[in-house]
Amino acid sequence: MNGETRARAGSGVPRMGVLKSLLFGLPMMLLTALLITGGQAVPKDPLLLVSVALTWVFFNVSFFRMLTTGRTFALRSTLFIAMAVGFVITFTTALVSARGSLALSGADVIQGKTPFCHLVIPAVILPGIITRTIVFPGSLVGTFASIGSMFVIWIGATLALGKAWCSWICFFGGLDEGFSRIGRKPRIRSISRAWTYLPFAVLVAVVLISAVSLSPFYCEWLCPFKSVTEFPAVTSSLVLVQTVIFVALFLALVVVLPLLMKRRAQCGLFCPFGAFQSFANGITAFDIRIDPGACTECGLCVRTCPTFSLTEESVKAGKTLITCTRCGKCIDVCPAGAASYHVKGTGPGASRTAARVLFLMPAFLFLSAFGGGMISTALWRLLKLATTGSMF
Amino acid sequence: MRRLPAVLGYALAALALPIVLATFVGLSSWETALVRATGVRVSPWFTGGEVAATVSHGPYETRIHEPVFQALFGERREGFVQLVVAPADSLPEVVDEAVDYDLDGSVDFRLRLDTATDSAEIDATDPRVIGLQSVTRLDDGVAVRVAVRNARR
Amino acid sequence: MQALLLGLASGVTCLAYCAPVLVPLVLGESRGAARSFGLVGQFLLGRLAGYLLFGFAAWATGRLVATADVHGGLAFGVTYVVLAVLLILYGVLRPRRVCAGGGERTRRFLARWPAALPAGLGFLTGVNICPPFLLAFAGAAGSSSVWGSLLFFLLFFVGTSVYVLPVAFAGAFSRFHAASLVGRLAAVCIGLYYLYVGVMLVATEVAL
Repeated sequence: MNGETRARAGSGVPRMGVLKSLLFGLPMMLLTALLITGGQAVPKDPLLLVSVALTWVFFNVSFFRMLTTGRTFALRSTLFIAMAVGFVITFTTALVSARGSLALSGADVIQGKTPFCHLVIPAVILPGIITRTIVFPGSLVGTFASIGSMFVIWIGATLALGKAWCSWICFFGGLDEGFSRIGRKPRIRSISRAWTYLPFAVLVAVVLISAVSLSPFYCEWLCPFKSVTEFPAVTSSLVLVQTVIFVALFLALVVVLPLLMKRRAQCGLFCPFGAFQSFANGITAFDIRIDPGACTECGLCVRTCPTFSLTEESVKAGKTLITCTRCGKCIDVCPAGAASYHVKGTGPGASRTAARVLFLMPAFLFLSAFGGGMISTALWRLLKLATTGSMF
Repeated sequence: MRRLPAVLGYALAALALPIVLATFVGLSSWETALVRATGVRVSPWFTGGEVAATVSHGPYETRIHEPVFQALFGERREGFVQLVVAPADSLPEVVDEAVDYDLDGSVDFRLRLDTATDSAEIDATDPRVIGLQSVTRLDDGVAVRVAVRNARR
Repeated sequence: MQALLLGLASGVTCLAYCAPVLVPLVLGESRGAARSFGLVGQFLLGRLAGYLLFGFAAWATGRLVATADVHGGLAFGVTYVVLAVLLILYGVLRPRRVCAGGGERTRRFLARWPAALPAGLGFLTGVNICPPFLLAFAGAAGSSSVWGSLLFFLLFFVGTSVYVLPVAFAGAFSRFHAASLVGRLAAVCIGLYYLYVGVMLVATEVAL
């Protein structure tokens, strides 16, 4: 195997030699430099320059190590969590800078100043088709997180990567992933499989109620992430009830349950966008396969899958469920090296390295394009805080 | 023939990277094209609807929007009409005007808006006018929403 | 057009409610493809009758609210509360299936009128308060004519039936368990929301 060695005996995780990794790493270095900076000129602000440079190094060292070690999950997870934290810092400071507060006012709604978030996409499609209007108070084009731009990003990601969005692109997913990685042992080891259907039920409810009410039901009533981004100003008892609900959901689904279960409770047990995106796994080229010949049925992948996307039956069938987010955990934990990234249409014995690289490159590039700016801006704010005493 | 699925699979897999690049490099072009192709607009329940008429009062003007009754199918029985008085720096302390929101030539309600406190009162002359819904200070003006009944239902 | 689109868009959920009733019937009674389609056809006719009855009820509710304008909020609020409770109960309790083998009188009746079983089951699923029904109810209640409401539900029925027809092949039975579970969980979620809306509407009217 030219430039390819096993990580450890029997593990089957394909590693690349340094030269070959550099060969794939070089174009990624150029492309990430372009995408992280958004094609802009080199920043003049020294703090911003340092932030962008550090972010670029962080991303490319991670990609290089993904290739040389054959490990995906831990390196991806670090980038993913950094993106989520970076997003929160960047978004909240931008809002405070522009508006003076995180609270969304009636004026912001009328003037279309609400940034469009991907979580609301399932809710706006049905009324969008029927009424030709978007039931969200944003701007169509030309602004930060405009409706048009988020739809384009979503369409591109869906075509290329399917539900890998949930582990490589979603800037909220890193929050509950972060809490799920704290601590060594889970306190809640298993739950009823019925709960894994709740995201699909929430999806049905959100789609139908949003269509009837012509309003973004998930945003108004359920989104836990309003706790760390923007939220309607509490000017009535209705909004107060909604605020209590989303704060409670954040604490329960994003903080406490991931801490106790060491799995992504919000993503795997509640998020309707994740359920919606599951159907996209059918149109992409990539999936994860388990070699029944190598599998010892130890069940470690089933017990540790962050999004509950493996069962004993699916493992015997050699596949993950449609909710798989391609995070790479099962591949990395499997002691028999039975799990691997796979290109659909190819046989079970086809090159694991080729499938892995073909998946990692677009996934990593999307992560850097989407998250690079968030991380570098957050770093810049933190450096400003450290050097001047203020983030602004 | 047996290799065709593998060839197609690898071809689709190889397309993923150019799709990602095209998404970000051409983002602003794609978003404009998408919006134009679909013809969508933001729901009038948020924007207040299209402007139906503008009444000039010299230094400021009152923009009367189309009444909003949008439903998933057809129209709702009740909705609102939005008025925007602008620009903010030319507004008098009190805006007092008769409003014909359905443009049928008859006054439907009288609006009295205090621009210092952003508070308003409505005196309805048309039975379809339900009452004042909200007053919102915008970047460059004040939006007043008045709840109304749908004459077509 | 909108009713048809709504039916097509939400028909998968309809399948979640109809399939647990229809699939065992097809599996249990089927003696070939022609017989399966015949059974499905009878089921669908019963379902259509249920839908049209609901269309009439939606129109009647809309008229009641329109003519009793002062208490419109109260009428809608109470309706929402009742529908919400039915949805939540449907989601929490397992739906009971009609057992064709129970009782001598039932057996004699079914021997004389064999189409009554699939048609009756279809009717019961047709009047079932499932989430897409609530959506269609809201839409049809707004129609000013009874024919408008009936036509609305007829087209809604056509749209959803696209998903029910393939059940005649009764394959992949295991997937319907997932769809059924999703449907019931969704019923509870939607029921909770409409319970809140109904209670708030009633409370507002009472306060006024």
